[in-house]
Amino acid sequence: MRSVAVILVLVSCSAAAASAQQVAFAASVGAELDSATQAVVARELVRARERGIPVEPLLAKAREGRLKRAPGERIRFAIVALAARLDSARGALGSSSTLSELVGGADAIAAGADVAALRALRAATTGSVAAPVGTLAQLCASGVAPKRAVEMIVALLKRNATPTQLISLGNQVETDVASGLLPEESASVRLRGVEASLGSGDRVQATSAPIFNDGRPRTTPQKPTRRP
Amino acid sequence: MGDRGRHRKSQPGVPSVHVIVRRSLRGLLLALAMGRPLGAQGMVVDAGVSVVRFPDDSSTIAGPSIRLAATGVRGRFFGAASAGAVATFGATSGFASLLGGMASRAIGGWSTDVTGELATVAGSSRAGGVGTAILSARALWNGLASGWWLRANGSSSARAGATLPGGGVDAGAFWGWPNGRLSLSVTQEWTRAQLFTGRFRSGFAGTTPVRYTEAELTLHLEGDRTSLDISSSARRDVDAARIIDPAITAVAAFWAGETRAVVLSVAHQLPDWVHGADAADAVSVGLRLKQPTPLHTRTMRLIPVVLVSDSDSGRVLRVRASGAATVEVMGDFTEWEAVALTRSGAVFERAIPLGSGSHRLVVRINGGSWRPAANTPAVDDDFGGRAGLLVVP
Repeated sequence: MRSVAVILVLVSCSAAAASAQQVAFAASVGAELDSATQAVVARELVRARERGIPVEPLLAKAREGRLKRAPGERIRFAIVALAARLDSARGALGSSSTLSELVGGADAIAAGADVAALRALRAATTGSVAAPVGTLAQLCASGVAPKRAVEMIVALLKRNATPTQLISLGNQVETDVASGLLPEESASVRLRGVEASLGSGDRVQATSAPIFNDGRPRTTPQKPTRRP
Repeated sequence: MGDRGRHRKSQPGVPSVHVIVRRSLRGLLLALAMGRPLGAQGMVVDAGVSVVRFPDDSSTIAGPSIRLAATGVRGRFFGAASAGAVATFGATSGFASLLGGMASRAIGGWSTDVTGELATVAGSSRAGGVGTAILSARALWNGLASGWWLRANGSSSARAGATLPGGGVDAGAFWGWPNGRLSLSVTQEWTRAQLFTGRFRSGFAGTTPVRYTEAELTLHLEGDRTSLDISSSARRDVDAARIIDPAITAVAAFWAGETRAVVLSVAHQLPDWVHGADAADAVSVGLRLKQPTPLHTRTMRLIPVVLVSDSDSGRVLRVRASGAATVEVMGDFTEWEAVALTRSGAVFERAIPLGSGSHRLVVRINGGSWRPAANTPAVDDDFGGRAGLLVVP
């Protein structure tokens, strides 16, 4: 019970803007964690606040681990790892990054991207990078090489692709990969599809790679088929 | 040629054909009669009792049997292994088969695959066994719900001191629907058979060519915890005792648990000249272990797709899972609590407060296991599982 109170105090005192909902959430998380895990959560919350990292993702991760009945040691490891990813994302995306941008950045890092990739996306647009980093996370998780994924996203940002168009790229590639296509091939094909929806204009350099083994360019994405 | 062939099975005193020692075939027969587990991943065990009559030898045998079968797919490679045995007083027999192959990537529904199979049967009534190697290549057009194929095969079988070559072609088509599958095929086979005098293959007298054409119709029907497989065929062999000979196999399975089923089968089978199986009539009762229910198998085949749209009441999460009875989602936006979606036509949906940005979620269909959707790339959830990444604009 003492640790619960510690978490409550930490959250409510160190975060002036902490909402009542957040406090209640923190209480519910702490109530069912063992003392060692509560101590780690409390420590990571303090560190996060000190570094300007939002605590909501850390609390959510603790709750996820508890609801999935993960061992305390695993929850502690997950909290520390997520805090490190959020910290790296904040360093790459900037201190004024929003919660959704940092969470997306942390997901991208978890999927295999590095901070240089996040910096490249940050530099590519003055607007929100929540959708670009989210798409980067999706593409990397689907198996597209981070460098290639960044090239494609940056190319689309330069052509004023909307967040919806960016995100659809990630969704379509994953669907293709699940159907048996290679990630790089699918990404190239789907990129051309997004390009087509952006209208006429110079084709971005990122799409110059061969699409299929026959090397013939195709203007429309091929329908994925199930492998036997 | 025609007279010689007709005599080879039925007329006493004239060399008759026996492809393999009868006892060594029982295991293989049981495997065929009890049916290959369709679409199974992992290992399946069949244990049962069979009554088998071999008309060419005018013999009948009853005994316990067991069979193990394992199948798997890894990328473009696939494989299957099976082995079985039957034991009776004073006699045992068994079989083993190892099959593997590689499929090409599908382009526009077209694909090809190459399969190799090594099969053997052995029995206590015969010194040595029978070994057969088969290599086949297939072109397949798969339209998901239907398709067709064209295949060619070559085989070599070592029996009784002789090596018998063979070859064949077959073409077929299939149609599938959520609870069933129908296929029709036509096969032309050329191979050789052995000539023996006397009962139980005494007096080896040489080999003779065998050529036949066979049409086969197979039907698979399944409920949530039951399945029925029927295979019927008609073979035209001008050298056989009956030029047109029918065959049928029916296998019914009733699941008594999530991975246990009672299997009943009846079969009237023609000789398998390629593998070396005798003609036989069989009735089998068995228990099949480690095979999931048809409902579970169908559920795992479903490919859920997550969609997010805006409505007057906020964001709506939709899951497209054709054929599903229930769909639940769980994610950071539900505080990792399972939330049931409501069926709305072909999709399941629910209005959920879903902010812009990255989210993690998993989907559960028909009460099965939690898994990422097809269009949400999976990442490690830090707790030993996988979660799908959903990005909302």
